[in-house]
Amino acid sequence: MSTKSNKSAKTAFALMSALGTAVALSTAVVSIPAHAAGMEKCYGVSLAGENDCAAGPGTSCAGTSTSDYQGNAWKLVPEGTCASIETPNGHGSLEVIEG
Amino acid sequence: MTSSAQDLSHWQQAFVAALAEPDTHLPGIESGHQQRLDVYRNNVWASLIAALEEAYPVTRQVLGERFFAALAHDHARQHLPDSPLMMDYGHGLADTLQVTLTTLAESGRATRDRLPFYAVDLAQLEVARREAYHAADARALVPTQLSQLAPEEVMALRFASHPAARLLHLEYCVLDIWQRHQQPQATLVGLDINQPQTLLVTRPAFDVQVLPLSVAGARLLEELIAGEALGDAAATLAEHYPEEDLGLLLAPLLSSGVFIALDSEH
Repeated sequence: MSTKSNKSAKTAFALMSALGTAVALSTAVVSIPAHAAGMEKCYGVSLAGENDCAAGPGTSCAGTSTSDYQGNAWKLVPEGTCASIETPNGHGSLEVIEG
Repeated sequence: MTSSAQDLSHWQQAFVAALAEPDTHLPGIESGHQQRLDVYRNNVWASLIAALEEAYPVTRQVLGERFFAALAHDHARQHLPDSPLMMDYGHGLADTLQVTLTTLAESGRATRDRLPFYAVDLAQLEVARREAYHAADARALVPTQLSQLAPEEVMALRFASHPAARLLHLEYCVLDIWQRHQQPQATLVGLDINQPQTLLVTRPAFDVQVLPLSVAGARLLEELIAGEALGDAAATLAEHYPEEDLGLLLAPLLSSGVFIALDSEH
């Protein structure tokens, strides 16, 4: 046997062993969960806002204003949970800056 | 094109232009109907913003409702829907947010480290979850399928990735941030968000799953998704990450649903 085929036999053995470990560690996890068995995807009842006609505020006449949603955008600074981040320079900004 | 078709085309273009700008006069409608056009315009923007709000609930929570609405409006103005399928709408919001935050930082309104740049990564995770949710179904690999293979078959084994699978390389530990926001009164106190994270998003059955991968695990997955044979991917890994245990890296990948069943390969 040449050195090369010896080496590849060793590699194959190592790989089989690794695959054995992987399969042993993973077996029970992937199969479809019991509660999902017998279910089927149901089209037409999608999540709100992900339906194909964008129902929601638009369908029932959201309002007559022409100024809602006009771009006053970047006068605002984000005001969410960024305030609770701890950065090396202190907490994030909660302040809303009115332009 | 016939002249009436041309007229229609011109009128449609004028209509779209009138939707973009308030107080635009639309030729060919009675002046009394101008107000109805205003209502229609507002409904269009409101529905697009609502679609984005539904698509990015955690990003919205992090940014705040007012900022998110402004962001969504800005995004919608640059990206009108190109399909009636609103489940696909707004996939580029992360890019718009990146530009917006950068602009804010450069304008001096807020310093860079006080702006939530991590929300850009968060938006990427949320859109990947949504894509995975709506992706085609496929039978995921069952790991025990692999137990029957002979050594030479294992060496030459190639996997095909599941249509729902997405791999994300992110600058912040967004999975932790996302998980914390599944609880009311979310807070990031005590979490160092500045930890890069590689996330694998899958949907082996009905539920979307997100799995953080190590650097070596992500490399292994990338080799396999690129179509490398398992033997070659293992050799590459041994070269770059000699300390890593291939079996331990492979196990979570096999369980994740990132690969489709062997017999369903083309």
